[in-house]
Amino acid sequence: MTTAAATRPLASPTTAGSVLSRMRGLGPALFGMAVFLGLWEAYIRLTNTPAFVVPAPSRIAVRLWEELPSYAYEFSYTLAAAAIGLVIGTTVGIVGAVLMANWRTLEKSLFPLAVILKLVPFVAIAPLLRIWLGYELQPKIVLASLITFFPVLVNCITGLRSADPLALEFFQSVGASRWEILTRLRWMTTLPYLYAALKVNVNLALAGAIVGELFSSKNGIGKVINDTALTLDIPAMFAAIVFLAITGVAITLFMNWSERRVLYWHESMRTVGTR
Amino acid sequence: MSQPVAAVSGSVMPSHNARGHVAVDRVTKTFMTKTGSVEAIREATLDIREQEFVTLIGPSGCGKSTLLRIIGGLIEPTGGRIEVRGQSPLEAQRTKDIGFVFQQPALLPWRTVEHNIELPFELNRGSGTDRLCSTEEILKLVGLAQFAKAHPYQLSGGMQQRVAIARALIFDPALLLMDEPFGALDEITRAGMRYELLRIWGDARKTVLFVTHSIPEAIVLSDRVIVMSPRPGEIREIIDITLPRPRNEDVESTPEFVRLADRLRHLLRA
Repeated sequence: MTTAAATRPLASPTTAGSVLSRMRGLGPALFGMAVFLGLWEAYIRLTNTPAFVVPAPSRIAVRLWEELPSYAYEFSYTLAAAAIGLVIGTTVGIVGAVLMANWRTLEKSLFPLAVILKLVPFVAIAPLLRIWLGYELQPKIVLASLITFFPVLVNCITGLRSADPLALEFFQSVGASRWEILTRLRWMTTLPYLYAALKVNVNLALAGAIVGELFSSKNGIGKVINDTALTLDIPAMFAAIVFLAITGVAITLFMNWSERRVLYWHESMRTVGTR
Repeated sequence: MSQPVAAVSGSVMPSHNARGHVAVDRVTKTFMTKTGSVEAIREATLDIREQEFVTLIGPSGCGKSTLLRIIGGLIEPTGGRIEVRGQSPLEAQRTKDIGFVFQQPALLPWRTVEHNIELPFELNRGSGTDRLCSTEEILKLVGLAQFAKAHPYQLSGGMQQRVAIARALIFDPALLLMDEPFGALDEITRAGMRYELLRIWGDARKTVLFVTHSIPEAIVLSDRVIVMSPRPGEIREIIDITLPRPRNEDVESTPEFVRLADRLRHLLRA
């Protein structure tokens, strides 16, 4: 009955062991970070560099702690603009990819337009968006969606076309409709490609929203940075940048974690997981 | 319409409305390529009886896989006619009268074994789907009872291919088309799968058309072996295999088996 069939253990994606080993993997990174910060601190103190040129890490940390509530509040605007822009950009990208993957003529006529849109440096259109859309969330949302739709579009077109040919033939052989093939086969094959685009896009969307805020805003972490530049409050500026670095790390960790949850069945998850 | 039948008892499971009759009438296929046209199949004519196990054997590129795909409605023939239970291949697809097993399992990696097997019921609004037996029973039949909740990547190649066989059997198709289903397996697993398939076929009596390169595989499995010539693919000879059933490993050392193998080797070389 059971032929020479080796079965791999049915391990859950995250076990206590893997968490521990991942923590241990962080050791060298934390050490490197500590050395870097230590040298920075020592240099500032030994040379008596004034804080308005380069502040010491300790000074930045204190300032960040003081400003944390207000930064968190301002960042909620940035995050909202980035998130809404990301949702719009992703939706447009997916719908565009489904249409273009199905109709070659549509791809031939619209894809070049998308490429041109992508090739325009998005910073260049920020002032125009301020004139058109003003100082609220809208210009940041538009900026974030303009940046994020293209990676989704390109990756999803590739994903939709990369379904296993034999699986396609099986669907066809049992009379599956085009819609069923799209939703039950092609869409699932696209998910890893979509995720790859999303991982890039969360950071791009934030960058887009912040650039929008630098140019024109009443709120947002970009506006905070702009204000600190005007008052030459360099420690506060550094604190805001560190705040963004920390949220960036948090968002990246969240994306990696959710990717493991959603795409646990994909081969890419297993080659990474064996470390 | 569905009639669940105990599967593992070794019983024959007739689907009451199946005639299981396949008629291939002077089918030709010419592929158009940039460098000109290639004649893949020339005038293939063949009848398959209900519950018969027929094997197509021939050298690489003789069009046997193409013929299988034409019968299954995946490729349009250039000429000729095909009927599966009195329907065209495309109608037969819609009524789920055709079960395909390919060289690779082609399972959906995001679905568990049981959800892979149940996929055909979700498609085409479940039309024309008699159920051969429950998912549990089909898993028992292919020897994977304890793997219902496993994902394909947790199974070996041979086990995955058995899931693919279960997926093709579960909706009780009139005709099972198998395109070198053991071609991607190692030799040891492959030799075992032959008898595994015979056991399954003994339980779920189906009309089977099986494509292979392997002479022993063809002899052990078949009621009839159809030998095809290299391009353009033509049916060169049809050989009846009268070895008694049920067959097991011992059959491969009988004089009759050796004689048939010699004959096939000779035909394939010529």
